[in-house]
Amino acid sequence: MLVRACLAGDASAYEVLVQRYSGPLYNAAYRITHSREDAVDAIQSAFVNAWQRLGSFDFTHRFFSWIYRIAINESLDIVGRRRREAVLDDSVPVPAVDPGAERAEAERAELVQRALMEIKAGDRAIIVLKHIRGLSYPEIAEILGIPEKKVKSRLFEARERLRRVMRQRGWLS
Amino acid sequence: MSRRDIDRLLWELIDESIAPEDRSRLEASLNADADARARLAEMRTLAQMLDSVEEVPVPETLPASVGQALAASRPRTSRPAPWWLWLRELFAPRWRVRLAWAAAGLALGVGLGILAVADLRRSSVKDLSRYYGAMADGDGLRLASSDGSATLMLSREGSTLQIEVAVDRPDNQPLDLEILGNTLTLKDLQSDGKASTEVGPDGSRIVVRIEPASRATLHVRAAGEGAVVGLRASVGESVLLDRRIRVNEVPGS
Repeated sequence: MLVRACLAGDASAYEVLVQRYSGPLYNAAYRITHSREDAVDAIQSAFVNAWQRLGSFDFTHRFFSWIYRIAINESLDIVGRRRREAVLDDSVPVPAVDPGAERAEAERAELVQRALMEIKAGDRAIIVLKHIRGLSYPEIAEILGIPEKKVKSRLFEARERLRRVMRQRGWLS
Repeated sequence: MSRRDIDRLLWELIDESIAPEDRSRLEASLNADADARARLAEMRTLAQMLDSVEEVPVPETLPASVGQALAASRPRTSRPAPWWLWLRELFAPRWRVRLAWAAAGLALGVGLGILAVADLRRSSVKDLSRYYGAMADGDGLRLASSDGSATLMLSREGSTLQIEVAVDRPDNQPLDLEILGNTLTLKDLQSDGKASTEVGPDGSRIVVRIEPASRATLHVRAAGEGAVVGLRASVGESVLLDRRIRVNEVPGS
């Protein structure tokens, strides 16, 4: 097991973990922060924190869920810090959805991202884990450290808020 | 069903996590409720939009920049601690500081007559341990103090942990070992000296107090090999460890 190899002093084992998880974590962080720079910062911090706390890693959990949780928390922290610094710029023109257009998929993704940025960061995180990262309820429960039932309940509330935003913007029609 | 209940089930339908009996109820509601059908269509659209969001390309430099961040955060040369570090901490060589505290605490404790109180949690005497070193061998995890005043061996057979503790401390302070878990069973306790136990009524807590100059061996059965057991060791009010381990991580058969 790679974590045990790290604990035994094999630094290259940690490099393998970084290679394996940096992509998925970066994508989740990007969807939460909506900033490539912030996503990189979040992932760097997550891996550094994980490394420093590896000695206390609880082997009853999977590294996957542990590092995910750290990365999500780093992303949420960054969003919290940025909240006062940057407000979503509503003056940016919203692209119209045109299924026939060449960039339709990218435009739809942009609409989704804009709507996601209008709901709370915690809601955004759980939606990102479920839909954009495609994780199961048990996996999300493990990452967030909450019961599966709570995951369902929080996901329901988050998606309803997102639906409300998208409907009000006319992006679901 | 309320509208909210219906919406909850609609999302479960989309997630394909809906129970069969709920599906029947929901289908009946959908047949009779055009608005619910419209909401379902809206939810499906949203789910499809979310699910179709593609991955963003990961900066090629990300792993390298993580490596740099790690290097910058790591002026130390030591590696992360092994999982059994907490056991070493039990025997940490910071004994000089602890000795000073313990001497002061001992004097105060004797003065107040606290040592005479038989309550496991009342002693104010600080830790006087001189323990250090931890060594894993094929049979278990063995620890020894510098002067041989205490040893602790952890091993297991199946879901049963065998914990052997020998204490011969010059300060005469007892070591309390608290074992926490789910449906723990103290199978036996053998001692050639002073050792006492408290067992919680629901099997969630076992406390063993081992007096110096005695040896105790106890067998504690956990709920299973994958069960998690908490171990908390203390001398007086000084907590030396507070950690959970999984039974099957302890060396043994």
